[in-house]
Formats: sequence, C-alpha cells, structure tokens
Amino acid sequence: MSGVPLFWYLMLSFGLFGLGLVGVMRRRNPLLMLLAVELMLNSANIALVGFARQWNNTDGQIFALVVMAVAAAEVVIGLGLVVAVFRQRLALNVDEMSSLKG
Amino acid sequence: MEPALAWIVLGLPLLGAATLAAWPSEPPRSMTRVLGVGPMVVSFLLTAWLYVQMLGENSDDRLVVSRVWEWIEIGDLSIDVALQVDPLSVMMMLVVTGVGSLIFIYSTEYMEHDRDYRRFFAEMGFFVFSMLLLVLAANFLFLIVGWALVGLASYLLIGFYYEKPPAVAAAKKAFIINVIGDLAMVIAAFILVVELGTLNYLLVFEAAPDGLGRGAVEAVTILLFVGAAAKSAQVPLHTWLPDAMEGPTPVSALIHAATMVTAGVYLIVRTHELYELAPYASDLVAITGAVTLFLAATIATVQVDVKRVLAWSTISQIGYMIMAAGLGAYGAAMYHLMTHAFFKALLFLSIGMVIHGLAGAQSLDRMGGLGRHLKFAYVATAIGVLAISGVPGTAGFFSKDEILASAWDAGDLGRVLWLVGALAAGITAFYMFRLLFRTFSGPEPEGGYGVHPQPSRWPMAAPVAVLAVLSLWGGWIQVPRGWTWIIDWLEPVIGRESIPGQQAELVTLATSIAVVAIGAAAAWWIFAVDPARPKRLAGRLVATRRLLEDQFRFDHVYDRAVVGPTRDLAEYLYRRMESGFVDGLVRGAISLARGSAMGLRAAQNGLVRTYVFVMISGVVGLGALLAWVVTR
Amino acid sequence: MPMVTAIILLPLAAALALAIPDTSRMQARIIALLAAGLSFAMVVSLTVRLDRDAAGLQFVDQHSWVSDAALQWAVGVDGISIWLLLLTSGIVLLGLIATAWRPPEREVGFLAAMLAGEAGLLGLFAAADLVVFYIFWEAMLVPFFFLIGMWGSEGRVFATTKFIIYTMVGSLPMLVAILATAFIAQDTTGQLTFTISELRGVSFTETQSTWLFAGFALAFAIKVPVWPFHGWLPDAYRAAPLVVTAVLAAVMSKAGVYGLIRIGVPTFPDGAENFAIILSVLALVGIIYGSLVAWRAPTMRMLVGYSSLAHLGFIVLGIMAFDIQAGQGAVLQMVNHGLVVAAAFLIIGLINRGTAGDHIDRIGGIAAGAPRLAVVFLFVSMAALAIPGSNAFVGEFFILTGVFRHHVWIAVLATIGVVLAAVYMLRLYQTAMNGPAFGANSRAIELRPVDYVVLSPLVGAMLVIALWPASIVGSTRAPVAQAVAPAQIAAERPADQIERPVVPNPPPEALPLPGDEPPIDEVPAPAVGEEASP
Repeated sequence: MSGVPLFWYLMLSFGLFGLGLVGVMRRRNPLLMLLAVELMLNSANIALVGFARQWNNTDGQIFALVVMAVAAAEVVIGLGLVVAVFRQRLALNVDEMSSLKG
Repeated sequence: MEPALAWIVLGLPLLGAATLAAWPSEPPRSMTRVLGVGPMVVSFLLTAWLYVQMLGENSDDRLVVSRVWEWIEIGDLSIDVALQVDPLSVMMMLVVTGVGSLIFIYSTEYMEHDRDYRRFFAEMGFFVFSMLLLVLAANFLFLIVGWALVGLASYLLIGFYYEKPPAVAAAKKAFIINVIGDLAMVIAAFILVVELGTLNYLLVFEAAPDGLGRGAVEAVTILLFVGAAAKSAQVPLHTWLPDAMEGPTPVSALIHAATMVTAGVYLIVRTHELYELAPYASDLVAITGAVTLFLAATIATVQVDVKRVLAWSTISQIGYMIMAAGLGAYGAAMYHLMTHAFFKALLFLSIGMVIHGLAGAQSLDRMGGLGRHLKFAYVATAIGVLAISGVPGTAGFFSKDEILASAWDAGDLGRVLWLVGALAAGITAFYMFRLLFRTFSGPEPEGGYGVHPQPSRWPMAAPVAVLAVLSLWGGWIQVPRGWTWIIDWLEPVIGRESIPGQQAELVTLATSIAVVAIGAAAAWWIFAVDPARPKRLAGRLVATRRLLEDQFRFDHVYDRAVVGPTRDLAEYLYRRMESGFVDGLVRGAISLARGSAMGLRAAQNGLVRTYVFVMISGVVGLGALLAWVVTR
Repeated sequence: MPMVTAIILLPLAAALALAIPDTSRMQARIIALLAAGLSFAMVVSLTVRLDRDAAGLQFVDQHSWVSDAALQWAVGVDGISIWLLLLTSGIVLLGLIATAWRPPEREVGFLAAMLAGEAGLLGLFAAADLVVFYIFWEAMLVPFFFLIGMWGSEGRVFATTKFIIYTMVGSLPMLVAILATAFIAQDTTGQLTFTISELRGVSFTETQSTWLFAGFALAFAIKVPVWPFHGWLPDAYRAAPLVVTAVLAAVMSKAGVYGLIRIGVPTFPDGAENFAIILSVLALVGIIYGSLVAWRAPTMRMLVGYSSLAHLGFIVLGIMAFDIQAGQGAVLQMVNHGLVVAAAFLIIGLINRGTAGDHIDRIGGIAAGAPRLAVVFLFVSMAALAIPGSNAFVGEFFILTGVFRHHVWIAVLATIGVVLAAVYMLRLYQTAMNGPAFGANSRAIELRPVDYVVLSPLVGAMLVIALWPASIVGSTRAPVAQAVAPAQIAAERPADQIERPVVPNPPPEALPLPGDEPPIDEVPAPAVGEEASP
C-alpha cells in the first residue's frame, strides 16, 4: 500500500476544519457562515475517506456520500432561510436576528 | 288526644309565612292580615282544643310522642322527626300561640305605616313556627334546630329596619351570642350521643341516672345552661337583649319579652331530670339567675329609653325564673314564665301605643304628662306596672312570691338568693313606677312631644285590654294554701312538686309587700311629687350612675378582651401570615427557580460563535479527558 | 350497558365535538347542554337503582387493556361516589346554563373546556383503579388550566401557573406512591394489580404504609387544600371566571377528600393512623385560620374562598377520625359544601352584575332593591354558617360528634370555627345586603327568571337534605364502615365501634398463590388490616 500517508489526509482535514471553525466564529453574515459550515463538513468527509482508504473499508466512503447528501439538504434549507430573511429587508447579520430570543 | 293537632299547630304559622314570602309581589294589606293573623288564631284555637282534650285524659296518658319519619340514621344513632306533646309543651304552646295571636292582631295596626308589611308578618310567622318547634321537639337535635331557628327569626326581626346601622349591628350581636349558646348545646348533645347513644328526651332521661357519670352529667347540664343563658339573656351573655330593642315594638313584646327569651327556662324545666342529677350545675343556674336579676334591676333604674327599661326588666324577671329553676322549683318557674308573658307583653304593647302615638319617640326625656292624652295606654301600663311589681292580687304577685317562698325553703343558698330576690323586687317596683311616672304624669317635656299624641284604634287596644285582664287576674290560677293548678297540670312532667311551707309564705308575703311599697314610694317621691327633684338629685352618686348607665361595662370589656384581639389576629393573619408566610413560601420557591434560571440564562446569549466555541471546547475537553483516562 | 363509562365519556365526546372548527355558538350550547344533561340524567338513574346497603362498588365496568402491565379501564360507583357524581354533573349542568345566559368570549372553547373538566372530575370520582384515578387526576388539570388561563381575570397567568405547579408537586409523589403500592403489593401477593379494592386487602408493613400514605396524602392535601398547602387557592379563586370558581370550589376540592376516604385511609390504615393527629390538627388550624382570614377578606370571592378552606377542614377532620358517624357526616358534608359554595359563588356572580368589583365594603343596602335575592342569599348564608336546621348543620354535627368521641378537644376547638363562620357570613350578608344603599345598582342584581332556574335546584337540594338527610346518609353507611374499619383496627378502637366489611376483600383470585412466601396467613378473606399486630 503506497501513496499519500494517512497523516496528510488528516492534516488537510484538520486544516479545513480549523478554517471552517474560525469562519463560523468570526463571520456574521449567514451566507459566509453556511460556507464555513460546509467547509467543516467537507473536512470531516476527507477524514472519513482517508480512514476508509487506510483500512480498506468502504463504510467511510459511503458515510461521506451520506454526509454530502445531508449537507446539500442543509444548504437548501439554510439558503432558503437566508433568502427569506433577505426578503424581509433585514440586515444579514446573525447577531441581530434575535427576535425569538426570550 | 289527637297528636296530629300539634303538627297542624306547628305547620300553620309556617304555611302562612311561606305563602306570604312566596307571594309574587307585595300582597294587599288585607290579604297580608288574613295570612298573617289567621294561622296564628287558628293555631291558638287548636292548641286550646288540644288542651281541653288533654284535660280529659288521665294524667298518665298525657304524654304522647308523635313520630312522622326517620330523619336520619347515622352510625348507631337514629333520630326521628317527632313531636312530644305533654303538659309542659302544651302550656308553652298556649302561651306562644295565645300571646302571639294578641300581638299579631296588635301588629296589624302598629305596622300599618310600614313599607314591609308582608315581610313583617312572614318573619313573625316563621318565628312562631320555630318557637313551637322548640317547645314541641321530642329530642335534643330538634330542640337545637328550633333553638337556632328562633335565633334566626330574632335576628331577622331585630334587623327589621335593615337600613339602620344600629339595628343591623344589634341583630348581628344577638345572632352571634346566640350561636355561642347553640354551640354549647351542640357540645352537650355530643356528650349525650357519645355516652348514651341517643338524643331522644325520654330515652336520655331514662338512661341518664345509670349511663352518665357525675362529671358528664354536670358537663351536659352546664353546657345546656350556657345555651339557656345565651337565649334568655343571663349574665354574662345578656348584652344582646337591650340592643335588640332596635326591632319593632311588637317584636320586642313577642320575642324579646314573652316567649323566646324564656326558652332557657323551658329548657331547664324540660331537662330537669338531668339537673336533678347535677347539684353543682343547679347551684350555678340558681346563682346566675340571682346575679342577673339583681344586676339587671339596678341597671334598669337609670335607663332613659323606655324599651331599654323594659328590656332590662325582662332580663331581671327571667333571672327570677332561672333562679327558681336552679333551685328545683320548676312549677314556680313555669308559673312566673306564664304570668310574665302576660304582663310583659302588656307593658310592651301599651308602651308601644305610646311610641306609636308619638311617631316613634322612645326616650323618657321626650315623654311626660302623657296620661292626659293617652288614657287607655296609661291605665294599661299602670296595670302592667302593678303586676310586674308584684302588688298583691295581680299576676306577678302570686308567681314572684312563689319563687321567693321556694327559695326560702331551699337551704342556706336559697336563703341568700331569697334576700337578693326580695331586694330586687323592691328595685323592680322602683324602676317600673319611675317608668310609669316619667311617661304619664308630670309636665310635658321641654319643647313638646314633636307630634300630637294619637290614641290608638281597636286592633291595638283590644289585645292590650285582654292582656290587662290576664295580668290582673291571671295569677289566681295558683293561690298559696288554696289551689295549685299549675303544679297539678305539670305533674306528669316534673313530678309532684313540694309547695313552700307556711313560714316561707308568710315571711315572703310580708317582705315583698314591704319592699314593693318602699320601692313604689321612693319612685313616687322622686319622680311624681316634685318634677324638679330628679334634676336636683342628679348630682348625687355620679360614679354609680355612670356605672349603671354603662350597664356595668360588659360591652366594653367584651370589645376590648374578645372582639378586638380576635379582629387584630385575623387582620394579622390576613395581612402578614397569608401574604408573608404562605404566599412567601411560594414566592420564595419561585424566586429561587427564577434566580437560578437567570444565572444560567447568561450562557444563552444568542451568539452562534459563543455556542460553537463552547461546543468545541467541550469536545476538546472531553477528548482530553478520554485520552487521559485511556492512557493512565 | 356500561352506564358509568357512558357517563364519563359523554361530556368528553361532546367536548371533542365542540373542537370541530366552525361550530356555531348555538350548536355548541345545544351540544353542551345535551351532553351535560344526559350525563346528569344517567347519574340520576344510577342513584335510583343503587343498592343502598352494599359496601362495594356497583355497576362496575372493567376491561383489561395491557394485561401484562395490569393496565385496565375500571370504573364503578358506590354509596359515596354516587353523590359526588351527582354533585359534579348537576353543578356543571347549572354552570353551563348560567354560562349560556351570560356568554363569555370564545364561548365554544369555554364550553368545551367545561365539558372536558366535567369528564375529568366524573372519571376521577368513578375510578376503580389507581391508574385510571391518576390519569383523570392529571387530565382534569388541562381544561382547568385553559379555563383559568384564558377566561380568567387579572393575574390569571400567575394564578394558573401557581395552581398547576402546586398540583403537580403533589401529584408526582402520588404517581410514585401508586407504582410503589402496586409493586410492593406484587411482592406480597404475587399479583400485579392497580385495582383499588384489591389493594385494600394487602398488608403493608407500618413503614411502607406510612410512606405510601404520605405520598398520597400530600397530593390530596394540596388539592383539598389543607392548611398550609392552600397557597394556590386565593389566586385561583380570584382569577378564575365565577362559574369556574364555583366548579373548583364545589367539586374539584372534593377530589382530595374523596381520595382520602377512597384510597388513603382504607388502603394504608397504619399510615393513616400515624398521620391522623397531624392531619386533624392541620385541618383544625385550617378551620380557625380560614375563618379568621375570611372575616377580614376584602372581596366576596375571597371570603367565600377562605370559608371553603374552613369547611373542608371539617370534612378532613371527619374522615381522619376513623369513625363511622364522622365519616358519614363527612360524605354528606362534601355534598353540602358543594351545594352551598356553588350557590354562594353564583350569587356573587349576580351581585357582580350591578357593581364594578366585588369589594365587600364598597357596596351596601342591596336588599332594598333586590328583596328576592336577599332571601336566597340569606338562605345560602345560613346554610354556609351551618345554622341548626340547615343541611350543612347535619353534616357538621355528625362529623363533630364522631370527632368528639375520640378527640374531645379537637371537636371543641373546631366549634370555634362555627362561631367565626357566623361572624364572617354575617359580615358578608349584612354589609352587602343591609344598611344604607350605595355602590351597587340593585335593580340589575335582583333575580331574573333564569336565575331561578340556576339557583332553585341548589336551594331545593339544600332543603331536601335538611329535611331528609337520610336520603344521602342512608347509602353511605356500608361503604364508610368498610373504608374506615382497617384504620379503626389500626387505631385499636373498641371492637363495638368497628364494623367489619361484609364483602370478602380482597377477592379470592387476588389471594397469594400457593408457594409465595409472604405472609399468607395474614390475608384471610374477610380480615383487613390485621398487620397492626405483626
């Protein structure tokens, strides 16, 4: 078994996750936050695929596919919400979306 | 003898009252008169018939218990709706329906100008029903029911003029003091149920000598006497009766003089089997009666309101009856009860004619010299005064002397009480003649009467005339050394009562004639000879007069010692305990929950990044912990 | 025909029917009145057919549901519960009639909630099974939550929350106690059952009995309420609409005392005996405390509400005396208090017609303009203060007789409450009705024909009970004797006061199976509660 060792898969995954995390924590625009969440999900996918290759087990690949499907669904809902908020002509700033806060 | 008659007598006044009450609007006055007075008179006639029937029976057959249905069976206790018709109850029925009928007839005229004509007769009818239930009941439970219902009727009629705050307050006071009495009787009933398992008179009296311990029987009799004292206005539960004079005068005559307030005497006579087993309770009864009759007589000497004078004299006269009952002279007590009903009703009704004639004035200061205008009332009142003072030959003379003579014969305690009673007889003569002189003789009051005194018409005059005759001659039914109709009549109930000895009779006769003469003469000298003399004497004995005018400050003490502290306690409980403690606990729990929630709430700041940060820190922390645990 | 089930389900079905959207007000009224009326009629027919001498449940309707978990639907009536069913269905019917004449906003919902509440109460009183009892106990809260929370007056949210939380605090321990009872009983008898009558025969140790009783008693004490668990009462009574207050005070308060006599005392005699004095003293304190506070209460509702606290104290006293007379008196008093307090609240509703608020001191002299109302009010006041001759007197007299037999001083002190009752009821009656007229439009208050429809059944029932209390008391003897007998044995009362239950209890099939080691010989057929002397 040769090729890129698992270590680099994980480093890539870790790096992407860190980027996504920083993005979620720093950004206030819901669109960008969604992107950052996608980044984190995909970092997890890379890790899954990497492990699957390491152990010669397709479960990880299948799970990555499932995650992609879920992510797609999530993006649809998320974007829908963002568009709905945008239609209300409200600022696209998650900190100000607090009308449900008790 | 037909016991169903008793049911009809009992039911008729209620029927009349219910019909009046249910009448959709104020019925015509003539109809009210028919529905009010009719049942009363018929009741009286039926009672008289019952009496005649009973006369025809053997004395052993004169007791009938008429049971209609079983009211309740609870646990092992069974109580029937039943009436006990015997000489004692028939005697009371005669007094109630007889005097009642006269007062009803009188009221048709007296209340003529009142807006609530119908309500008056409905409530009076309800009273008569309750009173008859009281005297006819065959067990303690229905006795208590009747006892409380007369209290209710009395409450309603004292507060008849319900727009007047004093009347409302007086009604409330009467009701509450009577509730205290009711409860004492209820507790007595508890003891009887627990110890004997029955409330039926006959069964209780039969079982009492063996079934009740000494302590129990004393407790029962004392508790019953508390009830009697509350109803009959004996010290220290007497304070409601003078205030009760806020009611219309016919009410005062019927309820607060002739019938209801004497129920206490009836109760003691009815339960005399128990009192005979309870010497201490009997002594307590006699002493209470003596204290009451003396205190009330002294207070009556300074009262200015005519009806209050009569109220205090009622308390005093009932004191005589209670004293007699306590000393075991039940026949004498019942005898005085009857004659007192005659002459006290007479006094109230004739004074009522004066009040009616003066359009409601009741103060002695607004009277005087009325004998010239209201001759009939003058004569009638004079007869009543003679009778209550015990002038020889009148009704009060025979009955009061029999009480005193019985007291003379009743041992050392009896001699002391005899002295008190004889002294009070003199005071009685004094205050009653004072009332007579200040009302009817002397000059007119300064400023005139306010209205011209109007003589009364026949519906008021006729009953007064009948009562005057009874007050004059009604005493002759029992004459010492002559005949003893009352004692004979009551024999099936109270047993053969020993009549006072000759010495007692003579000593009492001489003494009472002397004290009455002295009392009457004193009143004459002070109030009749020289109109200015009362004013000259007013400066003397100021402190004593104040004490008497304040009625020995019983009300004051009760207010300070009982009512006030209880109200403060209630106020405290409502203001502090309820909102402070009970609600405070709840609010404390709430604020605890809320406070902790507020603390945790700070974490929920709504910023996604904080949540993410906390979550990631949690994951990292848990991972580190896991790693540490695994590698350890 | 499963009559009892029908009685319970009919109002429930009607409530669901009203939930169909677009029900018009008129339809809603007709459905509600029909359902409540039919239910009442069926209760009446049961009352007539009831065997008045039997101790056990009659007209039992029992269906197993999940037999492994011993879950079942079991309802029935006896000489105690029939009167509470009658009271419930009657008072709710009258309440619905009164509502129809003065409709609230969102009337359809109001009627539906009332009917659902009625079903809950009926089910509670008819339950023959602990789980059924518990379900109705909790389910009843839902409609009342909405009735107070949506139709109430100022402070309703706070009042509702307080009411619900209070009740839940009590009922959750009760749930634990119910499960514990069944499992402990399973340990001794080998059979899992929630049927109340079967659990009655089970022997618990004194510790078990005490804790289980405590678990139930807390829930009951809060519901009654017993002092000092009455914190929810003033707020709920103040905030609820008057008709709802009437139902709360007249019927729902009986749930607690009913639970005591149906479950607490007969099932856990040792525990009940251990708590007898504590509960009696709390009841006594409640009597005097409630009376005093009622005397100073500012509004009519509060006055009547606190008087309820006092009156229910008498009922608790009667039950905890373990005396047949007192118990029968207590059952009678449950009915009496329901009638009196419902009438009192309805009258306050009438007075509210002519005044802004119901502050006692701000109105007076209504009698002059409303003499008919004054008569009815006086009648109800006299019944409320239990004047001898009234229906309430009968109940209180026999309760106190029974209490007097065992605890002389508690009975004597309780009579103070009767004196105070006179004081506060006269304050209510006199300040509102007598004196110079002010503060109220008494013409608007005077009784109208519909008011007679609502009030005369109550007044008539009070009169009937006063004249013929045997009508109710007669049927309570056997059930009450059976209910208190174990506790009497536990309290070591003289044998002549105890009436052994006639019905074999528990029934033979609930007896321990051979091979089970628990105290077999202690559960013979008729003997109950012999564990008092283990």
